[in-house]
Amino acid sequence: MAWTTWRSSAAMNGSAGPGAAVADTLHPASARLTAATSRRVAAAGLVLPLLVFLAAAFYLPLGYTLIQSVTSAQGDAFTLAQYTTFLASRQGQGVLALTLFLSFAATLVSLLLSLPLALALRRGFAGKGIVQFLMMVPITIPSLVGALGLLILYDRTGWLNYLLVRTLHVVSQPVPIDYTIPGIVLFYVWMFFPYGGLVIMSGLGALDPALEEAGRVLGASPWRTFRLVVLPLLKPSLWAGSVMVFLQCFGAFSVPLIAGGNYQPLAVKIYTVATVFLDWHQASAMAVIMGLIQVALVVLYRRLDRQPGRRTA
Amino acid sequence: MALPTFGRRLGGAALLAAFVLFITLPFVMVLLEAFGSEWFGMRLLPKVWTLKWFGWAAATVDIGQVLINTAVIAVLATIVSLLLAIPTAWAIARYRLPLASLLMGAILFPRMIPEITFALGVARLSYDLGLSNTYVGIALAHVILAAPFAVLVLTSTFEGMDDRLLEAGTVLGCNTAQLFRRVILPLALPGIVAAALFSFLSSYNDFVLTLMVYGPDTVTLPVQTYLSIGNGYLSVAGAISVILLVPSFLFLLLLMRMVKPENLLGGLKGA
Repeated sequence: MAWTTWRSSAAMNGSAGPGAAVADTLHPASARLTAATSRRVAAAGLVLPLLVFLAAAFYLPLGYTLIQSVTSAQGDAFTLAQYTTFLASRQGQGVLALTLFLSFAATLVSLLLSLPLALALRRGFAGKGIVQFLMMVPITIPSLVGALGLLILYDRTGWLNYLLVRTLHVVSQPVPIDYTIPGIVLFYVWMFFPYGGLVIMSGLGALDPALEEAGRVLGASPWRTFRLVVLPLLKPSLWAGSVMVFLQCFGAFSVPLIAGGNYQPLAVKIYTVATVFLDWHQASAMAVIMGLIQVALVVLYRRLDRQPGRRTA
Repeated sequence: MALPTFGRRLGGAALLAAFVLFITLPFVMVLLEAFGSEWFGMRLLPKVWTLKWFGWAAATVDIGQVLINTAVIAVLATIVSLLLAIPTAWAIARYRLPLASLLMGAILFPRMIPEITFALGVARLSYDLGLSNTYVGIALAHVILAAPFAVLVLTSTFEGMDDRLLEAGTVLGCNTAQLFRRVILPLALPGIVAAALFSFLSSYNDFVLTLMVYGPDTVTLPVQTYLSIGNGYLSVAGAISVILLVPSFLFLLLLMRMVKPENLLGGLKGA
């Protein structure tokens, strides 16, 4: 019994090589067994507190939400009605469509902003440090503060409209931006594009310059080199960065909460349904749907991020 | 050849300038809102410069108490998060644990899904346990997000430790306590400090989970910013935002010296 335990643990530790045979002659098996077991017990003991905490504070509440989502509002009966009503209702579909549209649009604009920026910064440009610092700003600061500043900047009486109406005279009336769909997309881009921008910048930094030089030497124009050499190699980074931005937009809460106006994407809707309408069963079902979509996106991100095409350095 | 280079430089400079304005102007607006008064209509700058909004924030929403709440909760969350994360990260980095990748997945899962998806359950649990509207309750809610990221930072720190230094310590006669104090701690300190900073900042800035478990005695800076915006007191919200921003910028400056930017992704905050 003890011997089989030792063998399985040795196999798991991958130590049953030639070295292990030498060790066998030096140490009795029983001593090795206790050493290995006590190491594993020690390791388990070190991990246990965090696991217990997460089980109680995270997985238990998550399970509670899951159970709430499949229980009828009156009693304990099992039902999928919360899901079917949400997914079948025009309002529910509207919320999902809005959430996905905002995320897609903001991801696309972020990509169009990040790629030229990353390319411009490629060759030891003087502004690289500044840009990297500034890209960290929206990631680090509380979203609420960013949203407040954006609301003031793009207000009907804000600086952008001041520029358009008073300075450039391109429009006679202020352009409404706050609380409109394009406005929310703009706010998302400000808040979340660095998540993709940093991935793209690091992907571009990892490309082997020799490949481009080869393209140029073989007579390709800069644009052709970019299209046929850089872009294909950068594709995994572009995808990974885009999924990263999409994930952030999809989960956004603070920005649409204070700057969304009448437009309530999924995260805000869950909060309103739970705290204003006090319908926890419906809110839980929406939370589960949101969580499942997010997990699918994360799995996608993992697969894209692992793809080859980068210089390993 | 000279002209295209010049054109490209000019284009690059214009792009850079536009980018700098795009990112920084919202903060300029928050500052103008916080330090200015009578900024109505389409005016470039406020008519009057004043500190009165900070006075308002102190008088109407007791900003001093709010700041204390936020700091105490963040310190508590940091301590608990490090206490849980350091042993876990050590075990993951230094022992060959069975199912290590599954374990890491289970630990990082809270950071993978939007906060709102589990905030409902957390709100219910902390209410049932009588932890709503308490420092401990809110700090523990913040640990759900802070500890996993601390594990991530610390695991890479502990993995990067040179085994030969530990062996040298043992050979030269250190006992376990001495080995820890003289060898391991100095090697791991930068990682531990980084993990502590991340935990502190993620608690200090947290909004979603706090919104679900706070009460009248435990209003934090982000929640108060939200409440002030909701009440329409944008200038008071601006003043609170300025206080709220100070640690973020200090940490940002510190962290830029310590870690590569792309390694910080997914680290600092959720929604």
